[in-house]
Amino acid sequence: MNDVVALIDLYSSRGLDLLTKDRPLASTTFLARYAFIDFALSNFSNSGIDNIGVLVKDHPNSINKHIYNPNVYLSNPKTGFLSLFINEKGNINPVFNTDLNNIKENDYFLYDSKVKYIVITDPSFIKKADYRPIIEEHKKSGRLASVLYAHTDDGGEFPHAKKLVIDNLGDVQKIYEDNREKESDVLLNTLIIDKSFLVELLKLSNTISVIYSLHDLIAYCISFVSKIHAIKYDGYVRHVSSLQSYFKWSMEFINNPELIADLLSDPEWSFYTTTHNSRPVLYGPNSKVTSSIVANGTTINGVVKNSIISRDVTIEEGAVVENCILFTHSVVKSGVHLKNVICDKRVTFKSKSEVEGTEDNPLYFPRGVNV
Amino acid sequence: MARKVIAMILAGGKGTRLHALTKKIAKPAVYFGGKYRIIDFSLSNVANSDIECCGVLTQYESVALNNYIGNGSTWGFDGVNGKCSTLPPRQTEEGANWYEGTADAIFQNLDFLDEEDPQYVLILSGDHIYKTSYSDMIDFHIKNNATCTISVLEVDWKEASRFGILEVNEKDQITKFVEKPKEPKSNLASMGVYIFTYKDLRRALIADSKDPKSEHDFGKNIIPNLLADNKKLFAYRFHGYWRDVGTLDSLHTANMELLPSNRNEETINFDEYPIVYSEDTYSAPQFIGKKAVVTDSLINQGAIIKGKVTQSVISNEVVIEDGAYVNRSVIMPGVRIGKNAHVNNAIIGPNTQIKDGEEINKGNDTVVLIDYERSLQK
Repeated sequence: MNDVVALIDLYSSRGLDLLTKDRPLASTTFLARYAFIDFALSNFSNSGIDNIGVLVKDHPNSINKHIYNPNVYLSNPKTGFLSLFINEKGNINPVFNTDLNNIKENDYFLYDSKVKYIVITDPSFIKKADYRPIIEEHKKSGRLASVLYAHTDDGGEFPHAKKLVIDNLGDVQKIYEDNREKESDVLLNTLIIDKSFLVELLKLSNTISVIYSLHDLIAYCISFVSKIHAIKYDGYVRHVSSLQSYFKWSMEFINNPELIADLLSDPEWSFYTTTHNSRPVLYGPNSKVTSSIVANGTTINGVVKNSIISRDVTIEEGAVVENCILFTHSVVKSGVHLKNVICDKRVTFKSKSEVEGTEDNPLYFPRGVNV
Repeated sequence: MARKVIAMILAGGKGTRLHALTKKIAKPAVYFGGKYRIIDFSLSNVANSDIECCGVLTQYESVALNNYIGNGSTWGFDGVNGKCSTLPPRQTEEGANWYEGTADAIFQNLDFLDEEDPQYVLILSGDHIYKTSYSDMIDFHIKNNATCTISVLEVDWKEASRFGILEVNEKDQITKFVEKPKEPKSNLASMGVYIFTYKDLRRALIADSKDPKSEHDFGKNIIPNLLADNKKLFAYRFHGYWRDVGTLDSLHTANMELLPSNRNEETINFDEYPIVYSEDTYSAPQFIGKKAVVTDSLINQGAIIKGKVTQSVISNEVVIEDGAYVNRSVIMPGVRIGKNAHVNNAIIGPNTQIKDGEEINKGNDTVVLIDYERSLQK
């Protein structure tokens, strides 16, 4: 599909408290070996979309470190591209560092005559989306733009996502905010738009003072410019929008391991990620590991239960790790007992101690600390 | 562009002693250590020696190996000065020829070498497990102004008669080479790793190609001929972990040596430089189930373990179902071990299905291979 350019909009993700202090959500570790952006990139790549721009809001180093090699994600890096779009003017005045201004700053892809459609998505919604039928439905709708939504029985599972009202023609009537536990249609922050219409809207936005972000533009469009079609998405979708939801949706894979097989082990739909030449996991003679996800490079000789262990972690004999998420290069020494803990990269737990958070409020340890 | 060193890796061997494991793939492509293939070690060693150009000589069942090597990007040979070419036998104006021996394989690719115009050629085998940088050996060769330098391992005197043995003087200059001597006078065994000064190698290969009695083999012909011509040949002493995994038993033993309880200071350490590079699969993360027991094992990403695993090496995309027990075994990619099955002292070839409740080699000390044939039967 060389008539499509995909944009991954890092402006639309919410932060995860201290976890995203020095990195965007997009490059934050998920399920031991992925970063959130891997899901968005792989969905595009598997859908045959090889032209991908990443709208970077902040911390470009962190994103660059993760996706520096286009060969990991693209079918053909010669014919396609994977680029970081950075709004350099945004550094001068953060008020103007918006996704809309970022697109305007990096609008060269809009001049490519073969490009007809733009897809823009938010990586904080984890999903397994084939964009080919979605783009087909957009074309058939006759509308100039479409958004993706999911129907849920429990809007409370998506407390920070916007909700939709859809009219009987299948178009968006209204976008609203509501975090109550009731049946609703959740906006997945994914826009499919004709390029010519996007160009028109970008020009229009220059003349209207209330439009800052892409979301403002869509809302304005619905009210005053043109109808937007709503396309239903029926697959796995979770919105990671807080530290609590990060913990919850990570642990869901432990409690329901069928998800690993269904979502992550589908030979027809791989999720690609940057890899690090780590050896397989070494389990020592005294290791006792149950209900856990473990990434390569790790060495375990202690007790690990209901946990997600990233690359190159060491868990010594006599250590206990329970209901935890450990990032890369963490070390848990003998005598340490961790429960309901999220620990960032290169944290070392040295002295004998019991460190315990709660399931609803896991304890977080920042990068590099010695405990 | 003239190059200082080119590596030529001999990867054409059938590896008949690995039985069905090499039925459809060449020995260097056989899986090892849960994640690697045997040839990863040689190719990584070359990359870690800052050698940018590499030819891989393939012959037996070369398709899987050629596909695996590709342009060498897995080991970084796709950089601006990099080159990695698989070199199967080819048809030429003179006709079509198979490689008749190790020396003949290099001789038939003299045009590849001439084009690169190297000063030195490193020739090595693609089926040994060890980590090294050849840089010191190359320096040693240059310092001695040698025609050829052969990497040697000091083996147990009792074992010496199994190897090609080099006798040396006090400067480690080679005085005699004997293939599998009955009464060895030295315990320096050739590792099949040679550095040649290219112009000398070229001359020797051309002379050898004209000798109708020659078997066109480095150990049997080229090295003895160079010694007879009074050329300077040196032995370079290699220290450390080195394994030939040419038989099922040695392949099983070398895998078992990677496990925590069998490790010693010499055992290959994947965490330390030089790094062994390998294909990283797009696997799901590894999952250890609610009732699983895993001790003293090496397990790759993509594996799902619901049963019990002790002293085993488990590859990617392996599923070990509830109640299954795997002990002292090497499980290659894509294998499913059915519920309540029992696998002991076994090598299970790729994609093999072990049925629910099936017992493989239970209570037996000898290693068995369950192979591809079975995976086709399902």
